[in-house]
Amino acid sequence: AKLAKLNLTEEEIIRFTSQLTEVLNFVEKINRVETKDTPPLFNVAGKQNIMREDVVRPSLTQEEALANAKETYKGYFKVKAVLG
Amino acid sequence: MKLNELTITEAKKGLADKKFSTNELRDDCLAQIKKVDSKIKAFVTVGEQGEEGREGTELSGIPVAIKDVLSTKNLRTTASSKILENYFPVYDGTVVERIKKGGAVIIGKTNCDAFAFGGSTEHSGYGLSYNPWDLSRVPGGSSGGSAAAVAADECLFALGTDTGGSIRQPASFCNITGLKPTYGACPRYGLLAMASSFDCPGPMAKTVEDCEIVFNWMEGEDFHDATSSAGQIKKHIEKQDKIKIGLPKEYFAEGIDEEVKTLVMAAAKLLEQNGFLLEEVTLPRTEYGVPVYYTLIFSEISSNMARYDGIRFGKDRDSFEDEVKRRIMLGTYTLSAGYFDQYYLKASRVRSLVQKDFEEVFKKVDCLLGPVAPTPAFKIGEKSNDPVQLYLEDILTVSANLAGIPSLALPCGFTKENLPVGMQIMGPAFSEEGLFKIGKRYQELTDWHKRKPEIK
Repeated sequence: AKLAKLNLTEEEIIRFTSQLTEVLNFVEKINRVETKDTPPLFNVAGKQNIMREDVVRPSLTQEEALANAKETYKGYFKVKAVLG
Repeated sequence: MKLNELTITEAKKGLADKKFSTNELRDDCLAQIKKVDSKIKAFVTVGEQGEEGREGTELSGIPVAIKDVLSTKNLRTTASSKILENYFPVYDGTVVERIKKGGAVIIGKTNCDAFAFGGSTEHSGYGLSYNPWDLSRVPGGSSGGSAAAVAADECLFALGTDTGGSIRQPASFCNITGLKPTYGACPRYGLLAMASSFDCPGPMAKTVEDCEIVFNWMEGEDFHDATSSAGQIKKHIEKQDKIKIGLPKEYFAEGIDEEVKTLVMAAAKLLEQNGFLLEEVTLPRTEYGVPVYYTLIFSEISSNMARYDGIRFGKDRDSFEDEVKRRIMLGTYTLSAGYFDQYYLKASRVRSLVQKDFEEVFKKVDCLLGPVAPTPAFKIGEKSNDPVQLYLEDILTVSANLAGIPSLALPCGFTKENLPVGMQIMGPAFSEEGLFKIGKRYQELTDWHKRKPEIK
C-alpha cells in the first residue's frame, strides 16, 4: 500500500490482507499452464513502437491545463515540499 | 408516441420527414429522465441544456448518454468516483468528439462502477443503478447506467466501455444491444483508463442497426492513441455464401444457467434454419481466462491509477472507493520486483495462448456464438459473498478482451421470471461488419429487442 501511496486504516489493512491472499490463491492457477516457448502478448492490436515526427503540435493552453488543480501559483501546480 | 422510445433509424426518418424537431426529441428524453430516473438512477450528471446537434448529419439531434469514464468537455466527468467529484475535463475524448461531429446531442453522463472496476454498478461512488426490468436487480456493469438508460428509453443510444465484458453483460441484463469492438478500433484518448491493453469504448443501443451506425462514427485511427488501428485488413466474413457459426462447448458447460443455455441454443437453431451453418468447437484455454485477466488488469490498473495524485486534478487518494484501493494494491504487488515474472509476465504468456485458441478456431468457423453471462441479472447484493459465481460471471466475456477480438451482444429471449437474456457473436479482429450482418438478420427474425420494461 505504501508503494501505491494509499493510506489505509487498521480495519482496512485486516480486510484487505485476507482478500489479497484469496485472490492470489486464485490466480495461482495460471502457473499450471505450460508456456516455456510462448512469447508474452503485450499488445493485442499487434502494433510495435508507433512513432511520429518530433514536431510541436497544438495542445491545451496553460489555463486549461491548470483548470482542475486544487492549488496553483502564478501558472504552476502547487505541490507539497519534496525536499527537506 | 413518445419520441424517446424511437430507435436512431426511426428518429432519423421522422426528423427527415419533418414529423418532429430535434428539440422535441431531446425534450422527450429529458422528460423521461425526470419521470423514471429517480427509480433507475442511471445518470450521475444530467446535461439539462443538451448541446445543439449539427443539422444534416446522420446522428443529427439524436440524444446520447455517455458513460462517466469518457471525458466530455466542460461537462462533469467523475468516473463514478468521489475522487473526481469536481472534475470538468477541458477536452472531449475522441469517440465523444466523433459522435458530436455526427450531430449527436449529449444529455448526460451515466453511472458505472467506479473507474469501471466491477460487473454490477454496485461499486459506484454515487450509489447503485437499478435494472428497469426488475428494480431489485442490478443492471449489470460496469456500463450499467448506460444500459439502463437505453432500456428505459431515457436516451436513444449510449456509449460504454468494455474491458472484461462491461458493455456486453449489462446489455444482456437490460435487453439491449451492445458492441465490444476490436481492440484499437475505437480510440481510447479521453477514456479514463482502466487497463490500457484491454479497454474498448463501444456503442450501446436498441438495435444492431443502431449500433452499426454509431460504431461507424466512432471507429478509426487516432493520432492521440498509438494503439488505435484502422484495421487495414478487415475480415469480411459477411461476404461468404453461408456463414459458419461455431458453438464453443466450454460456453455451454456446467455452471451456466439452464434457461440461458436453452435460449441461446434456440437462437442458434433459428439461425441454422435461416441459412447459417452451426458447428461445435472448443476453446480449451477458457478456464484460464479469468485468472489471467485479473492478474493483468490489476497490474495495469495500479499503473494507471498513479496519475490521481490530487495535484493536477481530483481529490486525495483517500477518496478512492474500496474496490479501487483493493485493485491498486493487488496490482502493485503483482508488478513489484521479484513478482513481475511470476505474475504479469506469466499471465501475458497465457494470454498469448488464449489468443491462439481463437486463431485456431477461426480457421474452422467464421464466428462464434454463446451466452454473455452464466445467469440473467442477479439481485442487488447477491454476488458480494459467492466467489465461485463471481468468477464464472466473467468467464464468458473476458476471453474476447484477452484476444482483442470484437463481440456483439444482443437479446435472445426471456426467462420464466421475465428477465432478459443476451447472446454474443464473436468474430476475428475487424470483422464487425459480419457480426452486424448476423445480428441484423437475427433481429429481423425475432422481436425480443423490441420489448420494453414496465418500470414500476
